[in-house]
Amino acid sequence: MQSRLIVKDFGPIDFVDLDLRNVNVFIGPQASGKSALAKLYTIFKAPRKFIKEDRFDIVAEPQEVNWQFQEVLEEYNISSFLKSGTEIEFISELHSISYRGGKITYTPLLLNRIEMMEELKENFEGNRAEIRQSISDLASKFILFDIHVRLILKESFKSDIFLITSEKLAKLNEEQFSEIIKIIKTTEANLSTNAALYIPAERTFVNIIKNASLNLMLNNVPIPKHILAFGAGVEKAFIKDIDLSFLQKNLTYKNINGEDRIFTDTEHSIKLTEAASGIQSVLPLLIPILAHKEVGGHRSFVIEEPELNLFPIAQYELIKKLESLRKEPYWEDYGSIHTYTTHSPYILSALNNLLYANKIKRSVIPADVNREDHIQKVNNIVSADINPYYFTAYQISNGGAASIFDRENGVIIDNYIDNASDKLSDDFDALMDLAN
Amino acid sequence: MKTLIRARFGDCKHLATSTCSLQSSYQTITDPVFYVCDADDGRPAQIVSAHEDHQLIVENSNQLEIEFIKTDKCLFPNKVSKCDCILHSADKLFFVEIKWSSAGARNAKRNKAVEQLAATIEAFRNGNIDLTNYETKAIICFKRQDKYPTRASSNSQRAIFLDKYKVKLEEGNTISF
Repeated sequence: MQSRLIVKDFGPIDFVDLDLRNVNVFIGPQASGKSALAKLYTIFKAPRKFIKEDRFDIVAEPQEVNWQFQEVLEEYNISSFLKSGTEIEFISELHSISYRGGKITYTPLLLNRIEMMEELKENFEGNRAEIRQSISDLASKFILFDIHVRLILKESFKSDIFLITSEKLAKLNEEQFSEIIKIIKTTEANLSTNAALYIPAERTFVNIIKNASLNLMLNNVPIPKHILAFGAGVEKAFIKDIDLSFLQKNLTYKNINGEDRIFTDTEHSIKLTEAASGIQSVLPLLIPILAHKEVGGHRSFVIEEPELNLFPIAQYELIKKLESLRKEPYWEDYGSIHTYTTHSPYILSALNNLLYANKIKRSVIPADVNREDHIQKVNNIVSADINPYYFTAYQISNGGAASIFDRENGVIIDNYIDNASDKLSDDFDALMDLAN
Repeated sequence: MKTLIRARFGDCKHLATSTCSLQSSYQTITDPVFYVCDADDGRPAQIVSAHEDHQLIVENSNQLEIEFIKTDKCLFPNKVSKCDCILHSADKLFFVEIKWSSAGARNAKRNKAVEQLAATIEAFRNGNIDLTNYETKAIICFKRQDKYPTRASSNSQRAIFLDKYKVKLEEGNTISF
């Protein structure tokens, strides 16, 4: 899955043009705008979640939308970043949306395609070839749609998953086509309102306020809406049991009658709010991700500083856990996207290890008899991997963005976080010279 | 290996102006431990005694015959960028680039070192010097070694180097035969 985010003159950002894929990483100094970009991505990926439906009619044509953009930005605490010259553009398979001159233009690209299909239906027999093509195209991008089409066509699932056989499509009737259009319309509506879940750095706060939320609302305590939305998302997820042994041996989380408890062994437990800060920041991150794994479909997660409160090895273990839980979104309606912001050399090295693990796995050709053995050896070292094709990493600084990913070799290259390690070493060397 | 290198690249290119007592790029050592210094003063790398300033320690507990070959500013002419020295036994070979890290800019120096090591390995390749029977490593040697915090890009650099030259790139102050 691929999208593009172009931002000009927004807060600390002068100009960036980002190619975003399934695992995206933003690094950069404080106040460089990396979180702002992650938030814009969250908003623009599913704009209809934020545009009140009564404010516009969903039509296929590009249209100016009366979107209270300022209000949406306020939800994410970035409204003051908006400038008179701000321009934002986002393009995905689903839609393109732009903010220019204070106006939002929304073009639902998928809806355009659906409308074209509706037009083809008017002369169903005459347009058979084009209809067939349009269904095949969509099925190659939307796996759940593909499954629905197969059910409608009573097509067997034994054949190659990527291709609905032309034989069945040739026998398609008008009624079936109407049903297929309905399915893709539902898919489009779901995806256009399926906002990325922004997992904020303030996530530990959610554990504390969980039982006091009504009081906080009653007293009008001003808590940013995106944090509340995140808290609601965590609360909604029905995850009762999480194995936390990657943080500490025998550690588990259980929700018992609505109470969050951390078990250090089978008998002894403490309240989550009494647990170590690392556990408190990991749980609200894992809960929604595990919940998504159970329901399936597509979801995008923006994970701010996964390293929070964690010992270096635990940071590595967390990345392995998160990436092994992630299903690759080869299709637009399936799997999950992780977008990380980080300051941690351990997170960056952990991601790099996973990229390299994938490369080492792929170094043995599928026909090789020892391939399974080779893959197992890699898994024994690193239990997760990331396909470099679906990975991007950017360094956000001085108003711009530079890729820190070597696409040819599939690994992370020179960057600010690594330079910090060198700076520490350089200073120590200089002190040693004085000691001489 | 020494014969092969000598046949391809000859010997010191600076004999006319050199004040070096060895008058050669090649030196055979059997000491159990010896020390290498690159003084950063226009002279090539050299073997020094333990109490003298040095950047690299060579452990040779079996007292094998180790060939020490001064490459930069010696076997290769000054203007050609190559690594500082090569050390090899009958089955191990190290390309070594020494960098003074006291003046800072460690990352720029590391990148330069990788370039110089790569250039030397490429010269070997172009000279058809076969390294397959040697356990080969390329060593970046800073005056003081510091492994932590981890650097993703250094790991990547090692992966790319291995992929391209089939030689392991490492940072370190000690090599063992």
